[in-house]
Amino acid sequence: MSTSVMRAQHLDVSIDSKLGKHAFIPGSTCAVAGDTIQCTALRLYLGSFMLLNEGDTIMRWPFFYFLIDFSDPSTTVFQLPDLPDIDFDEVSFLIGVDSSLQVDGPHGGVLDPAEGMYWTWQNGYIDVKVEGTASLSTDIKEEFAWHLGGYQGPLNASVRCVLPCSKKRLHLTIDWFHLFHAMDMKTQHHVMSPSAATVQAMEALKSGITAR
Amino acid sequence: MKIKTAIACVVVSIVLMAFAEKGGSLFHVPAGWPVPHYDFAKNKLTQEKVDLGRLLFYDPILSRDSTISCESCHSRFVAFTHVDHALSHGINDRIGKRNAPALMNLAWQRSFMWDGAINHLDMQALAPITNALEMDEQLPNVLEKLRTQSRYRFMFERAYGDTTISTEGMLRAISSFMVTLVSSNSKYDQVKRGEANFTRQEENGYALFLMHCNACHTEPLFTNGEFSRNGLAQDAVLQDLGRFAVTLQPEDSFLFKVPTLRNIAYSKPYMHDGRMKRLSDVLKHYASLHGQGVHMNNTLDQLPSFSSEQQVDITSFLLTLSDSTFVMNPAFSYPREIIASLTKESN
Ligand code: HEC
Ligand code: HEC
Repeated sequence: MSTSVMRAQHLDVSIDSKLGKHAFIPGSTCAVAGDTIQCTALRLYLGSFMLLNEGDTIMRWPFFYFLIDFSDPSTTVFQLPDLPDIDFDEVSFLIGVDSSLQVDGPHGGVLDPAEGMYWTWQNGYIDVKVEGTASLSTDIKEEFAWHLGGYQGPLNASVRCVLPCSKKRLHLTIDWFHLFHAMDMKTQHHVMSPSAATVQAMEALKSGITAR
Repeated sequence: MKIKTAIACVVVSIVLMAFAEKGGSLFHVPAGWPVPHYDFAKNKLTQEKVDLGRLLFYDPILSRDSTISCESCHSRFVAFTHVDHALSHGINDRIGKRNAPALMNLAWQRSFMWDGAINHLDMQALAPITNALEMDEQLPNVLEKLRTQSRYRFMFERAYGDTTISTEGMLRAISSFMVTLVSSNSKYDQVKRGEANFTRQEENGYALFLMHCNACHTEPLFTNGEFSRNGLAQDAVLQDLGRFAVTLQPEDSFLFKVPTLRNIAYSKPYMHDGRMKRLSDVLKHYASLHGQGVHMNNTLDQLPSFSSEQQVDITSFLLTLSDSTFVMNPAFSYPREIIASLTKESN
């Protein structure tokens, strides 16, 4: 057991979702900041994980992507394989799909366009999908649907999160409050294509992610 | 960038050599043409994939109620455009927003649709399949329907070595068929190869073309693949912003992809919304731009007010871009022989 290769293990990742103080998954209803929000769909891509030590990248999984669907708990835990026995102090990953994987034709697995996280009329992955009803939404049915994505130039929406991590278990918590706070239910209840506002929304979402 | 192109050249020539060795003629780069943009290393062309793609292209199974195939809007006899339709119509006769482009030489194209919304040929088929105005179907349903048909299980196995029917396999097969749609045998090509001569009128037209049109409609593909304006007034009803819809950059407003002019005589009507019925309308349009100086584009602003003789000359040159061997090519037609052999197979 002398070489790190022989001791290769996994990085175990798990994720939970909340809105302020409440658990937030499809089916849940939360009262937050004067709004009552009911969630019907909550999905996002995470991928391109890296581990860093004192700022240097020491491990990369550029082609591993995970589609987290909070209506299916099995998708909220996953493993990154072949972790060598080395020290690290930070984890870095993308929320969304890297632009280089958006221009080179079809992919299978969770990146299959049949997963419903892909715009077919104007190519590109939907990085994050949040749908439901909100009492403040000015939509006639009080619905909202945010399909956040975009990969081209200034509309590139995927964001890289860097968080402390030094163990082989990483637990992420997404607090969607930051995203809801950044979006205006009166003017932005439906977001279905890339825009500068989406890029800002993704930055807000990023600030709601913490690691334990 | 240079290195990338060089690598692409090497890859492509290796792939092409492989075909040459097999004696296959699925795809070749005509002499003097640039290196194709399509990455053949990722989707190796085989007869089996091309056959499957052709079957899919002509099969209305891809639409929600099995009434519309790709061919409904892209018919071979009119260079794979929509016969005499300004705006193409799809399922339940719903009218789309744009004119169906002619399909040819797609392996050299970098982006697709009039606004470049599609970034890879392999992703193209998804757009019409899921567009409510076109085929109005959901991707998982399409895959489900294909899986229930023994002919597709057989054809996918033949093409990919297993019976799994995946999005990727379906898309790569449709592309495989589409990249074989190469048109390079017009009178223009024959003249370039020294097999024919232009008439005096065509010769005059060619000279005018090189001077005034070639900057955008660049030979030998007759497009430079860029997005541009050509002086059309905006249609007040359709309100089509063109490339802007994709990039949201103000400078891209009303820019449309420069279309190829190959087989232009077959592919009427013209422009992204099919507003012009005849080539003579197009030439009148370009002649009318003279002296307007408002197009922010030097080539357009310097167009002369073509005399009617000059317009006829240019038109006669454009007619030399018609490739009858392309539109008559049985390899591109309804796959009767494939379907017949499949029926035998299952008996
Ligand atoms: C209802 C009519 C319709 C159907 C059905 C249809 N198309 Fe099209 N096609 C169009 C129109 C219209 C455009 C241009 C749309 C735009 O620019 O927004 C187009 C564009 C294209 C292009 C891009 C060409 C270029 O030069 O940019 C390709 C390739 C294509 N279609 C292939 C297909 C395939 C493959 C299918 C079947 C899966 C199909 N089409 C089905 C109408 C149709
Ligand atoms: C500045 C670039 C530019 C120049 C120069 C130019 N064109 Fe075009 N052309 C375009 C664009 C862009 C379109 C598509 C416009 C649209 O549909 O909105 C087009 C469309 C056309 C079409 C219709 C093609 C189709 O399939 O619908 C024809 C024919 C044509 N041009 C011929 C010519 C001729 C002949 C000349 C020279 C007299 C010329 N063009 C010069 C950019 C140019």
